[in-house]
Amino acid sequence: MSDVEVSRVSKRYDDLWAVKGVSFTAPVGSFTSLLGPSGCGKTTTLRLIAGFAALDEGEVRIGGRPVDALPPWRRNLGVVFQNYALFPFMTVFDNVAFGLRRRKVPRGETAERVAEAIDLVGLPDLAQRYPRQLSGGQQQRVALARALVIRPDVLLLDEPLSNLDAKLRAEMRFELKRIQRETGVTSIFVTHDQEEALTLSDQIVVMNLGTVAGAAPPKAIWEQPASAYVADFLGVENLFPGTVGDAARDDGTVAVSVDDSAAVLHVAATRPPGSAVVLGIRSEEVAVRRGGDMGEMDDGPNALDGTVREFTYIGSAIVYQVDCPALPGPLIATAQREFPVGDSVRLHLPPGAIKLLRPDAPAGGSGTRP
Amino acid sequence: MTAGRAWGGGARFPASLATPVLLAFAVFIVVPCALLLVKGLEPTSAAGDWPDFTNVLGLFDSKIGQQALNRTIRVSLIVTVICLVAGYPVALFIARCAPRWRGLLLAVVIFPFLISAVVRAFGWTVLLGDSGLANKGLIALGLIDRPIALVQNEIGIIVGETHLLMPYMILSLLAVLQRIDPNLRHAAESLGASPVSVFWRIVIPLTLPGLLTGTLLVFSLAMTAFATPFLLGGGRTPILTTLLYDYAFTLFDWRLAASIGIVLLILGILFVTIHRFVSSRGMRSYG
Amino acid sequence: MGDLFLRSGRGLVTAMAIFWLIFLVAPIVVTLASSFTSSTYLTFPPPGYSVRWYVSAFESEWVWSTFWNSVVIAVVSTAIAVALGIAAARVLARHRFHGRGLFEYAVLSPLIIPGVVVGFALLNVSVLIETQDAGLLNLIIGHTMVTTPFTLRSVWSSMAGSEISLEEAAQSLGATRWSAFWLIVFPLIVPGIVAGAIIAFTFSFNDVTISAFLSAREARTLPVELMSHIEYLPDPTPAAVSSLMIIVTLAFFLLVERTVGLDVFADR
Repeated sequence: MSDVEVSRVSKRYDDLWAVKGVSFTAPVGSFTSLLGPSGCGKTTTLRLIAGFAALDEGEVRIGGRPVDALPPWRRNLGVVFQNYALFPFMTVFDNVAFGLRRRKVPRGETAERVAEAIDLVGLPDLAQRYPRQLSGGQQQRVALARALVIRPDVLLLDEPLSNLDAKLRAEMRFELKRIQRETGVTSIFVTHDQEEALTLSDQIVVMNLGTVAGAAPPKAIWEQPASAYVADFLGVENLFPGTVGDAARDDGTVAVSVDDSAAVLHVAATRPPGSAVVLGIRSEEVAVRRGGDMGEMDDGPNALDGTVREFTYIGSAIVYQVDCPALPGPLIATAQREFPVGDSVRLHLPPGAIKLLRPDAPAGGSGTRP
Repeated sequence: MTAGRAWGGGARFPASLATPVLLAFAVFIVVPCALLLVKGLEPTSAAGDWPDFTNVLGLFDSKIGQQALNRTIRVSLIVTVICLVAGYPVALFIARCAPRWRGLLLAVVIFPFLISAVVRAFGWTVLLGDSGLANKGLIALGLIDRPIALVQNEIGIIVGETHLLMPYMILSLLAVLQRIDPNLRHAAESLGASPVSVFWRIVIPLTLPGLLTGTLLVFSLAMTAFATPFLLGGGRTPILTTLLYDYAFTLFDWRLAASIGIVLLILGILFVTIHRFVSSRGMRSYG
Repeated sequence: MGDLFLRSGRGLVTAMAIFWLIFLVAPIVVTLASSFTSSTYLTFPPPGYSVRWYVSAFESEWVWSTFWNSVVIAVVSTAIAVALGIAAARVLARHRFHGRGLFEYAVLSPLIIPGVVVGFALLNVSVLIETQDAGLLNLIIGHTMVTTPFTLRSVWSSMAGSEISLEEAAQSLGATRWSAFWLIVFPLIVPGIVAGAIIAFTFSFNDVTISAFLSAREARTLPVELMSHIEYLPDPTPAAVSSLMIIVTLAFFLLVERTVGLDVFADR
């Protein structure tokens, strides 16, 4: 087992930086996810660690040792590919034994270790089958067994679950977690799926345009995203640019004016006065009540009037799109109660639920909303 | 900087693999073609300057050169038109027939073009000879009284080259015909188009790229075919390629032979350039 | 009315198609049939049948000597063309570099340059460096250059099916670049290599154009020798030789059809 240190790594293709100054550390035995939309450089980063591409700047250390001068076959890494990359003309056994044979492991030991690996990944007795005779989930397990049987220093996984259907994906997620815990192998996992990243990881590195937009454990990144981009990628539906007001109030909140609108919201003061921020709030933290209803929250700050523009039923709740004259755009809110389209509603945004986020340049088409 | 920079980088020239290949093509294709240019542009008199274009240009001032050029173009045009008119029904027929038969018919189209041009020309000499099946048939039909010369003249060249090149036309057309989405036909029919107008308004426009490819391919190969016109055309009906051979081996005028070579080389490059241009435009309008 | 029009249109297409399909096989059938003639001159249909011209073919010295020349030339040039084709296909399938288009253009150039030009240009060089008597060598060089585009295309298209991730997987498991190629890529492109080799061999064995220019007195190929026999000696022995060539080609054709399918010919 080894840790992985990626320091200020850059890779350029012609005039375009696919990866620019990426740094993070994956501690021994940890599970790190590289999360981001397609084209953010996460797969390139993985390929640089694996040695499939040569980096232009920076350094990758595995177990404290720089590996940039080593070809892929001398790095002792296990790689699981998005399409599994099983050798089509070899049986499951030969696929898994491939790495051991390259290492000149004796025949008897090879058979033993292959059987162990196949057992570890929970494959039934399919050793003499060919990849095309296996289901997607089984192929996935063979690919894992093949990568793990060589006892790699690090396991690299490139969107391994993206080709599976939803049910199998959920099942494999648990399997992946179990296998990683049992082997204790340092793992780096590339994904564009925030749920996968949140459920599997000890650490999430969110990437954007070839750079690291934020890196933190799942809970921290969920509760306090490093920037508006990270918040957006982690599913914070409501994001509005704003400016922090001058004085903090007695209750520790500060008035933040929403840009291009009259709204002023009170928010827990986490940013210095005068700074430009993005206000973010998840839809489920917005309280929705019938307009005109008199209630205990009536006099509290951050109450906004609006009209239901559209709603969708998602099973566990109803998601509303509400037009608020006070805000520059519609607000997304979740509630159990039903309100018809056109109904007046009153929204309440709890000061503690609103995050003050660092604004960043909108990325591609998935960055902050204006 | 370090050895590691060499791994996996795809952006640099793969010297160890590409060099032997490039070397072979440089030594055995590029250099010989360059020397052919030198030969063809050599000054006719010792005092002349290089390059001397009088050979290449003068080629078509001579009667024989003029005739060969005209014949080459004429034969190629006729062959192309026959291949087009004959190849289209064959391609349509193969595209529409049951899969069971399609393999066999495809074999009938492809097999002849694997057979040596000499063997095929031989078959045609037998068929088109004075006592051959063609003459007998024409006499039986009452079209002629006594055998007419069908080989050792332009007719022989045309028949032979049509046979040589029709498979190219058929395969070019089949390639596009088989890619037509049957739903297009159904859609047109559901909108009230009759089968005849489906053919003219849907099938023909969609096969246009294949038609163009096939036409260019057949025309350019007809211009540069050698063995077939050599065997079926006889000595008195030279086209450019057989004239080159005559200059090289009978008249031993290599400067003129090289000049014809230059003309053929230019034609070859010209056709490929036209083809690239046409197919890239075809891609844009049908992609 | 419209229906009748349509049906007669269909009938016309079918009739024309059948006529031209017969046209395509006619010279082949006629050659085969007339080779079994019992007479000393060629007619079709033959007045009687015998195998005397096959006996004559097998007893002819010129048939055997040129046949072996053709076999040697085809085998050696195919082997080199396959090696060059694999290298070039690898370059084109796996590498991006400045001048890649030029590389492709260069390697496919023998398809652009007319055969007579390649033949005469090589002859011209061999005369300049006084190797025109090394007929076998010149023929091998010429055939190799014009068949390499075929092996390249065939191998290239089979490489397109083998994902680069397979090679990377092998490398990550400890296979060097070279052994990843031999253990993983090579088995996957064998069908493309075989198909390319068969096309190259057939082309080389049957070629007349290049060979007509490069054949020397002691090194003539079977088709070139056959050509002069057809030109000057119209007796049925060439018919028997032609028929044998048709049969050998048919054997190769069926081999390809059974192993890799006819598509390898269709996409040229």
